[in-house]
Amino acid sequence: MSDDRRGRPGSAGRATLSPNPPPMTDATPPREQWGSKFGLILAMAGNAVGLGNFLRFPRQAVDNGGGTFMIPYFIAFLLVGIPLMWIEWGVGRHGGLRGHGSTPGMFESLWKHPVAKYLGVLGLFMPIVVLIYYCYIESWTLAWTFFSATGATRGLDQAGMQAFFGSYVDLQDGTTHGFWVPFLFFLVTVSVNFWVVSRGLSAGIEKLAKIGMPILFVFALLLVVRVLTLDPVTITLADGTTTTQGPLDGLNFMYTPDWAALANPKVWLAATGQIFFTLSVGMGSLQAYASYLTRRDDIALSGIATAATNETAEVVLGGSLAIPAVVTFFGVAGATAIAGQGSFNLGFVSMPLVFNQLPGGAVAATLAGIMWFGLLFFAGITSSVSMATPALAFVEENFGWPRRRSALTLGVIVVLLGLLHIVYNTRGFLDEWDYWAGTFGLVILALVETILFVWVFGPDNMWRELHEGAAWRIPSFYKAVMTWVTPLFLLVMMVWWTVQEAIPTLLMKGVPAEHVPVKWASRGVMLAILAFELWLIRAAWAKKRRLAGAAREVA
Amino acid sequence: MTTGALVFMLAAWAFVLGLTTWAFRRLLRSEPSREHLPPPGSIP
Repeated sequence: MSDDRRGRPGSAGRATLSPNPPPMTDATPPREQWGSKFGLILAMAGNAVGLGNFLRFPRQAVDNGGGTFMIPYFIAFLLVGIPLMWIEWGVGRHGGLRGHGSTPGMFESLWKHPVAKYLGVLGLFMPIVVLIYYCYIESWTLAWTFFSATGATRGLDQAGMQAFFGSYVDLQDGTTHGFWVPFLFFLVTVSVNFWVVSRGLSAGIEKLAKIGMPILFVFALLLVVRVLTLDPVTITLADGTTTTQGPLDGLNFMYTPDWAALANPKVWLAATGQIFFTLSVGMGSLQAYASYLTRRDDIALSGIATAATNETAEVVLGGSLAIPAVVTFFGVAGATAIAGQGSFNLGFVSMPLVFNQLPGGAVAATLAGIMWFGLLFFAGITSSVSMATPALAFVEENFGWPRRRSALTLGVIVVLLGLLHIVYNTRGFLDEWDYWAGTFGLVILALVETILFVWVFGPDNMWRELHEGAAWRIPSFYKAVMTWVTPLFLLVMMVWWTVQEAIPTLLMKGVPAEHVPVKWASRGVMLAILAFELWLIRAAWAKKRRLAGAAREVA
Repeated sequence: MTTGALVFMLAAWAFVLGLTTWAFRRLLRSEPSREHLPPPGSIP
């Protein structure tokens, strides 16, 4: 990266006005910086806007009563989502100014205790584990973009579409796809991801966001217009009666609250969980992106802009696509049943079925399919490149590896471990990683970083850190919210999930006997990754001590 | 679509779209050097 791209003072529209402090060790290369303020926000929003905005959100909304879900959803956004966004930007910038691009160093800069860096392993472990299986799911979106373009799913009925999807995700089912097809798309997806990250922060990740995010929004907007202008359709229900439903019936379901259901804690926890996933907090990647900011960069308003962009993508676009479309062609009861079968069923089976029934024939179905899966691919890749960033920053800063070498090495690891997901997907290998790292782990990291940044670092220090270079003063009541309400929310959520889900999942309640060995193997691989990362942290700090000792001797 | 659902939907859309517009407008017009900057060294 040239010096010009590192934020030369006085450059119009630059995010940075002064260079970061010198790196920690002689072996550490100079830290990169974002090319522009707008690019930074797009990259941050790209990190947050992911598959969950268009697949998980509608499914959660339908599963939890539609309109009933939306009220706790917005409350959780204000009390947990925005505060966590600020906390992660603050933790990241604070650590980045001290030469740390990943949570082990960031946590140590907040809490001068030997344990702090080991707690930071969560911010390396989670993004790597999620990245590996996320790339696999992302490769489905690339594959379905291709299938939509080539008309492979044209004319299939529900059973045919289900079989088409089943044959892709189950290697033993070769009825529709050769076993090599998922491997090919996975390899292409990982290659594109690591080609982007190998180009660096500004020339790779930021450029991808500047291209991918506008495409995503345009595709989503076009699809929303098409879905909301669909004519009502008369469908025959399972009991033989007919009903006429249109897209507005879907929106009506999404926005009609059942006030009595608000007393159900499950709805509140589901809404809080969705806010968590959609904003990509508790992952370690937002902190890594924020570590490339300087003390003159705003984080108060930028955090809001990122969160609000994500919410626009989720509520306005994500909420107006799958549910209104599926309700139009399957009715409210049908949409509820489809959502009950999972987000992937909604996205990869039901949506292509909807596209096949659009007025306009093959052309309309092909265009809608390309736009739907294309937007999912861009939503996925702008998130997955962020998940690679903490690990790359860690090895670059602590072991002096150049970006291309670290990207290539991590890419090979992702491919090798991703193969396990492809081979054992239908036997629960992926589910284990998704639960422990992609669900439960996020809450643990969020709780740990909130305690460290707010309580250990101190509320006053936290508040000052958030306002360094701020373009806007955060309302003062948020200091109390971040000190008490956010940690309490997280604690309640963690305890609830531990009792309701973590313990039964750990004990493999309801798991078929033939899946148990695969699930144990899945856990074993996760534990091996965790142990390796702990060892890397230990080795990195031992190296720092050696360098510091050598420097003292020279002095 | 019922009136209540329509009002709820429009309020939700107005909230997220308004927040996004406000944040971006204010952010792109801001001059970081003039904003709240604590004295150097005040943060550990």
